[in-house]
Amino acid sequence: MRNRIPTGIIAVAASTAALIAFAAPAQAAPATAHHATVTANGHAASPAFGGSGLLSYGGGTVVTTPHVYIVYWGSQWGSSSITNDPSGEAALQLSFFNHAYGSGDTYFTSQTQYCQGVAIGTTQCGSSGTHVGHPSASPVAGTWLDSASAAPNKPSATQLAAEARRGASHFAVSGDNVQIIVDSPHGVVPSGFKTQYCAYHDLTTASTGGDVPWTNMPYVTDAGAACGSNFIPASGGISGTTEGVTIVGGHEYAETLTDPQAGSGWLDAAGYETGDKCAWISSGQGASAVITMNGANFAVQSEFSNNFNNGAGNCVTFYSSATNQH
Amino acid sequence: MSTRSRLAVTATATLTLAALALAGGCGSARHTAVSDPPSGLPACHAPEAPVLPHTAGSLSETDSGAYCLAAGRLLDVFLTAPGGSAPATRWSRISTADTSVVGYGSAGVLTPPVDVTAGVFKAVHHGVTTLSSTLPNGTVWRVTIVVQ
Repeated sequence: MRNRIPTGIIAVAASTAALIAFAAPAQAAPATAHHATVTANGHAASPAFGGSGLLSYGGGTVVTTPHVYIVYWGSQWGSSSITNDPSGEAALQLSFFNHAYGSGDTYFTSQTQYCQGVAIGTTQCGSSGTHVGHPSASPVAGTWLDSASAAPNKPSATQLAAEARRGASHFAVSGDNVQIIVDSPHGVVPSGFKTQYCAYHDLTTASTGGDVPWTNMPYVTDAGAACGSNFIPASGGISGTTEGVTIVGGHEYAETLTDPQAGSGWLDAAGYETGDKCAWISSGQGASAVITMNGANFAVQSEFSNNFNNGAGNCVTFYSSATNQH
Repeated sequence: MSTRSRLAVTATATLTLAALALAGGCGSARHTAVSDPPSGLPACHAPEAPVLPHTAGSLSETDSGAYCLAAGRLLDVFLTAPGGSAPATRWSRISTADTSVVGYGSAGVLTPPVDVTAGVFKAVHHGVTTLSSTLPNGTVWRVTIVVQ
């Protein structure tokens, strides 16, 4: 159910009916699928994956049929269409998610090994449980330019969550398969952005009582190098300036897939989720890279794969199967 | 979050719990409210206002001393590597010395900035423990958490 308001320059062609999740673990993409291009960068070597050990199941839900709804919050974006987006973040973010589907996406496939409905503490789902879904078409189910009023210059977590609920109400959606991404406009600095975080995901409750997983997605390029600008040497036509948009966006999306209730899904013993364990790796296994999804290139960080190296676990940017990942 | 004065974090900041107790829980200068917990626990300060949803307070690398946290509440911690550090220099994962007093919360909800190490901790049971982290050069950050 969608009450999408076109944003002028952005058209969303996702079809909810086409969003069919695979049920099997390790949804194998063909070996001929576009391959991740690992690009080492000039940063000094950083340590291996963070956190503590493998991810384990906490008893909550995972996202089995991803539906992404993007809310452009505030009249600063523009009144009837997006006219104030100096870095082109809105179009890049939308393109990123619009390419994250099917066999042409061998990046988010690493998360389909995780599942719900198994014993708490499980680290390998195998064929048990219900797995994280990998859509066969774009997971983007709607966009909304909420320009009724200006977003606050420094919105609080409470205000951001309220905007996520407005988005859920606008789209008339709720549930753990929904992800509302609240995009703050250029110049708006949510409390803690740039210095404590680049983005985060959380859970709120819709007016109808259902879960609303949501993401606080600030205007990432406003943070510059702190949130990923030029983290990877630009290649494949991508802009170094905007690398953080997809690095951070992919991090939060993967974490929402595996822990939509923000604390009861797949975490390690130190409370790290899949993206945190692999954040800002600049060389070696799991180094951030430029990948190709369905013919388009994007900068991404790696995500954590429990079944890498026969269950030893590590960070990967390419995942075709449990025995073909790196 | 208010701007925090940058305090040099050195190995001398690795105060022991006993020393903290003797010093009456001497926190960083920006924290003025000191409470006297019941049942013999050391005095402690309230942490800075929280950054993340659902948390009760926040600490940074400029903080030292003893901080109060009510049982069941969450605390977020953000440690920023010193300016001018070599690329990829970061504080290590923030550890709790006694998970029966302060356990690990869900820190993975956020993407930290490149030079920031983040952690979320949950006050589990009345008592005292420490949170700590180190820089590659051996500098240690450590605070005491008093769970009331």
